Order: sequence, then C-alpha cells, then structure tokens
Amino acid sequence: MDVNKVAPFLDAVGVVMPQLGFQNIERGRLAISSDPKISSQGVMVIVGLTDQIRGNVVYNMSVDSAKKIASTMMMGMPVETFDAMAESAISELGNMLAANAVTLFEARGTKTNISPPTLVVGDSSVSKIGNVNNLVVELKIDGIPIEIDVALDK
Amino acid sequence: MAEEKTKIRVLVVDDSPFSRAILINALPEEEFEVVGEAEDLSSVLAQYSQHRPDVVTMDVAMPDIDGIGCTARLRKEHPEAKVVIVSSMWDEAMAQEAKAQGACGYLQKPVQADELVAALREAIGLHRLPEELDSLYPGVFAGALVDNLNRCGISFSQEDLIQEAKPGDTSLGITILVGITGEVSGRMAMDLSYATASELARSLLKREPKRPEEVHQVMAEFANIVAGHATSRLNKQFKGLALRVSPPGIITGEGYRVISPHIHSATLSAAIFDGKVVLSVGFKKEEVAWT
Repeated sequence: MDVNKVAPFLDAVGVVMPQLGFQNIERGRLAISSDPKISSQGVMVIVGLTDQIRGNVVYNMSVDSAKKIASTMMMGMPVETFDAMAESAISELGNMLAANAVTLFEARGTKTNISPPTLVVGDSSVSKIGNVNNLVVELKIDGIPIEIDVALDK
Repeated sequence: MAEEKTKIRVLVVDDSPFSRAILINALPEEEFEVVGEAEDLSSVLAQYSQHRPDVVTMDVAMPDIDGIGCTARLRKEHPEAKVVIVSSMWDEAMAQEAKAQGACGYLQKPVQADELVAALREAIGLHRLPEELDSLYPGVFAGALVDNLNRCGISFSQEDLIQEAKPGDTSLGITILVGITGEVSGRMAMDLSYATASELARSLLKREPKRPEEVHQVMAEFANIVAGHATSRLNKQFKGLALRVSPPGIITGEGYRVISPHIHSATLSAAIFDGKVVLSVGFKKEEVAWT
C-alpha cells in the first residue's frame, strides 16, 4: 500500500481537529499490515468507502479517549459516561474526518464517497473479506490516543 | 461494481411541433432520451403507458384539455408520473394549481436549456424521490433478504418477517456492516449469532464450514449480495439515485453495541433455524427529509 495514496485520511485530522478545539497532533507508529482484523480499543467509528477507493476507514479509540474528545467537542462540557450525546459527537467526528478526507482526495483527482458513520461500542473487532491492505496510524491529539485504520481493497 | 449509466427518458407534450423541437433540442443527448411526443390527452395517456418515461414535459394550452388538467388525469392513472409544466403562461395561481395537481415543476417559455435540464433532473432525482424512497426501501431490502434465503434453500416468505419497532443495539455476536453511498447515503447491518451464522453458512456452502473465519466470510458475502440486490433494485426504480455499497465489514465480539446516531433505520427480523437474522437498514436523516 502506498502511504501517500491514503495521506488524505491523515491530513484530514490536521484540518478538522483544530476546528473542534484541539491544538496538538502528534503522529506515532504507522504500520501497514495484511491482517484483515482490527481490534477495537473500546469505541470504533466505521465509515464505508466506495468509488475509486473502496473499503472502510475506522477511527478506533478507548472509551476514555472518546469521552475526552466528546467533551472538547461539546465546548468542555464534562462527559462522565459515554452516553447518547457523546456517541453522537464521536459519530459526527468520524463523519467530519472522513468527509474532509473525501474533499482532499477530490482535490487530487480521486473520487470517493462515504457512508454515514456507524459506531461500535464494546468488546469487538472488525475485519474485511478478500485481499486487504490495512494501514494503521496511531495519533495523539492533545495527548489523547486515537488510532486510524484504513482497510482498502487491494 | 461499475455504475450503470442510464439516460433520463422523457415524454414531451406540446401541441406545437415547433415547441416540441425546441424542447427536444435543449436536452443533451448524453443524458436524456426523448421516448415520445404527444399533443393531446389521449396521446399523452397512450404514450405514457407505452413508454413509461421518467419524466414528462407538459404544455398548458392544448386543444382538448389544458396541461394542468392533463397532468391531473395522467397522475390519476399513473400516480408515479413526474410532470414538469412548460408554458408561455405563468401566474402564481396557475403555478399553485399545477402543484396541487401533482406537477413537480413549472417553467415559463422560452425555457433556457440549463433551466430545463435542472428541472427535469430535480423532478426525478430530488423532488419526489426521498419521500418515496423512505416508504419503499424497507420492503425492497426485506424482499432481497427473503429471496436470498430462499435461494439457499431456506423456505421463508416476506410475511414471516417481524418488524422490530426499535433496533436492539446489542449485537447477537456477528454484525455485517455494509455502507451505502449515492444521492442518499446510509447503511445496512445484518446481525445474528454465531450458531445461526454457522447454520446459514452450512446451507450456503452445502457442507460444514471449516473455521469461524469461513462462517464470517460467508455471512459477509451473503449480506453483500442482499445489499447489492436491494440497492440495484432501488437504482432501477429511481434513476439518478446511484446507490453503491461499500465492501462489508465483519464485526464480531461479545456484548458490543452497534449505533448509528445519524440514521433512521427500519429493522426486520427473520426467525431461521433456532435463532434469527436481524436486518437493519437506514438512510441519513437530513437527506431523507429532503423534499
């Protein structure tokens, strides 16, 4: 997998997160794996991709990360439990990140479309069938760990 | 999957051959196909029945009936008919009356080509579609599920499906998630237990599945086929909808919840073997609400 090809998914983080009140984005481990399975850290936002880029992008984070991010997105409102309001915020985060990536792809002449986000909460994993190229990127956003998994058709 | 590009089929109604020619010339051939021309009520009804166009352009001043009356008659016989009035006369009362009789749009002659194209696109693509889609898609997905269960030897009829008032969001163990993109976007989730999935996989494979991964993969293929069939059926019914499905994601685990906060879902369950298959399909709220 050519990392440059999926760069818009990472670049979108740098565009979207500052708009939501986050300042510092640190990129950690970046790995390419052929393992089709992505294990949840607690909360996954899954967005389907069609057209020239086909697959799924998964925003994967712990419940703790999800609560912290939701809190910042809701202007610092305390989030004690990962409730419906926080679920909606994190789902919207996945939508914004993926939609922004689509715009960046389009600017490069690559057409792709996204499905609405689906949130999976709890002990789970997600995998794809067929030949899979899976890019895993660990990020820290204002110190909050979050992982982006891009699983695309080969 | 390659997108099938189909032209928008148009019936042009006007008693003046000159006006018809102007309208026909204004429609780009790569997007539109004029399937018929009509000049009075009887020819409109006959041509419509014969060609089943996607959209009708309708003049107002005609010999036996005015275009608004003609629209009412046409829609009485064919409630799905999409009519755009194209007339040299326009006033607020006429536009209101046309709308009341079911016209999708009203253009005043002389019509600019781009204006006409936009109105016809809107008539079939945006104006009436989401509302109709909203009431139709659950049945289409249910049909696709039942057809594909039957195809693999499980006798099941659409009447045996149970409509769930509210999706229970805790998974039974396996969820196949298929994203849907297009003029409206959404997703389909098929949920079932491992035991039910194994039985279903055995029926599909006609042998014992070898490993859990094989069960998961067969379920993903099955869900993909159901979603594919349902979306193609909707694409045929609503031109311009251009639905596509994303590669299925296989979610497995224990006691996890699947939530789609921005979606209106219809949930159906089918009791098969000793368990059930729960199919939840929905589209994004703001798009479906678009009228």
